[in-house]
Amino acid sequence: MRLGGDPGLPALLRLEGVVTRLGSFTLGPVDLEVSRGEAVLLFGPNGAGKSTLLKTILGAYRPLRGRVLIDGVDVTGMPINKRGIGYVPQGLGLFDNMTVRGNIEFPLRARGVPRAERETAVNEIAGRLGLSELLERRVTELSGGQMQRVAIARAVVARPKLLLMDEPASNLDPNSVEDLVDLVNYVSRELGVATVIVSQYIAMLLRASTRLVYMESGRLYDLGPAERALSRPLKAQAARYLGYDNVVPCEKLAPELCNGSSRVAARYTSIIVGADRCDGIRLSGRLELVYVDINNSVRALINVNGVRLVGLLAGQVSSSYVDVCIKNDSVVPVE
Amino acid sequence: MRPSPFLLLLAIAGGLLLLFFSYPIAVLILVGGSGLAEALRVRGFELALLVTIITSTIAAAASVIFGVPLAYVLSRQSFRGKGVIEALVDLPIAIPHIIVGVMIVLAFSWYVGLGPILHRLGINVVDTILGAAMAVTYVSATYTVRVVESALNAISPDLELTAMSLGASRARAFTSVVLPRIWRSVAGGALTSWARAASEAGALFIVAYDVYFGRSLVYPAPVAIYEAYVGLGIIEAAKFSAAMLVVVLGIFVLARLLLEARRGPRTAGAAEA
Repeated sequence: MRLGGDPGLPALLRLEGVVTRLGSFTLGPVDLEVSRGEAVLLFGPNGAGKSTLLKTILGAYRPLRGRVLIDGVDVTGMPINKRGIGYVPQGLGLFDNMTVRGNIEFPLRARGVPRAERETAVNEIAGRLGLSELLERRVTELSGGQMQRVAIARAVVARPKLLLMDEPASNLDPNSVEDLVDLVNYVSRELGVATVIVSQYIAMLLRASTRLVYMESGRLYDLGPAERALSRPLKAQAARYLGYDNVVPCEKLAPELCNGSSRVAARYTSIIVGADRCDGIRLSGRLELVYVDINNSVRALINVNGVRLVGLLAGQVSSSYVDVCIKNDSVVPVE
Repeated sequence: MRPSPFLLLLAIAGGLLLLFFSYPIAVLILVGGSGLAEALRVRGFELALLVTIITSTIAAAASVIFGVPLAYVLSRQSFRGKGVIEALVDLPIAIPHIIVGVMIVLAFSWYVGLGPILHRLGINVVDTILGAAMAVTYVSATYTVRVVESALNAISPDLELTAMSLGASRARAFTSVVLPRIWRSVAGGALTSWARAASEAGALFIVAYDVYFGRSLVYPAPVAIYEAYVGLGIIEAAKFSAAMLVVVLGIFVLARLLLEARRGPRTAGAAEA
């Protein structure tokens, strides 16, 4: 089964029925394809197996079953240092006993690249990533964003075909995340490197990804490109990550909402609180809280038949019991 | 601001322990200090100190050569029976050192086990520098293993994984990335093992009460002090004890200071291969 990838392009990374066991946790079976130039954003709850999958591709964990192929070559039993993968771990893994230059040229030294070629390659990537002025600095003297750039420069300087990034945005301020997005775009689109990013902070990295893959309990769910994933999140937890404020159990709330599925996901904009007119399903609930969100819209937390919902406050409410309108054309069924 | 009563209590308790550590040393220096220079001029004792320094240095080197790989495996690998290995590492600290001496003699110099083989090869363990070094290594190497293991545990395995993903072999990842981060701990562990080996007497009573050193038969320093105590009394023993303390502590403190001095800004790329 082909899971993802551009059908027009040969898969750069291909996972075939990969199963990895780590203590009591079992990853897979996982099938995945990532094409050259694609940036796959892999997200999901803690313990879903995201990092395990990344490290299985990297070669740190040997799969119990299945195959890992990179550019058509079966690398399942290949040592990590022979796979030609760029890897940026969660803590960046910078070598603090070396300068920025020492870090970036490390993979070239490890591969025995002659000094002159090393210099050229380091200067070129440093120039592209805005690190030229920092080459002789110790990595401990850099800001978080600069460290991120060094880690990416080091990972791609030897021109890997595949780049794996584990939680690259976890320690960055919003400005640095913007830089990171640009870097990922440069690496995947301009250098043509197939990129797999594991992150919990998907809102910030959507612009860098060409495809979203959700992971839960060791299984993958390909949600497709961002636009499709945002309109069809498939899984309840995935919907939460993708900005759906409500995952509603239909039986308890309004069975007519669901069209056969047991739950639907709804953004807060699909639930209007205190509206006079309603184009969807009208319910009544107890108002628990009114608050302003980061987009400066006024939200209301309401309790309908024991189900808590977040909606958009449409006007003034005078009583603690309010009318709630769920626009059923903008809710999506989820598992 | 007044310190809290709890902190005061902690300070008093800790201070009492420090006092318990330092008070006997002060008394020893007070009693034996005046004869310290005289003790250091006694040829037999000079040789005794030299033997002790040599055997301790061999023990420290062996602790690093064999202990660092063991610490690395314990820190990085999970395997069945690891708990047994962990216990085995700590065992030498728990065994009375006289028993260690008996075990070393039985294992390497008697007519069981490796004894006959070593005899045939002309390797003698009893009353030799080799035997003394083996005895003190047995009781001191654990410290290096544990110190280095703690240092390794503080380094994320992701760092080596990253180095290997960048094309480095596991050995290169260790020497380029891990070793530069743990070398102070390796040196600190070796120093602790060295000091522990230098202070060992119990195992030496059995294995190397006196050792062949050049043409002389020399007591290791702790045994020489015991001899002085038994033959000449506690005041004479105090002189030799003070002399040994000054020499051993002097080397220990000097090495610690050197280690601290290297803690300054590191040379960029110094550890690169």
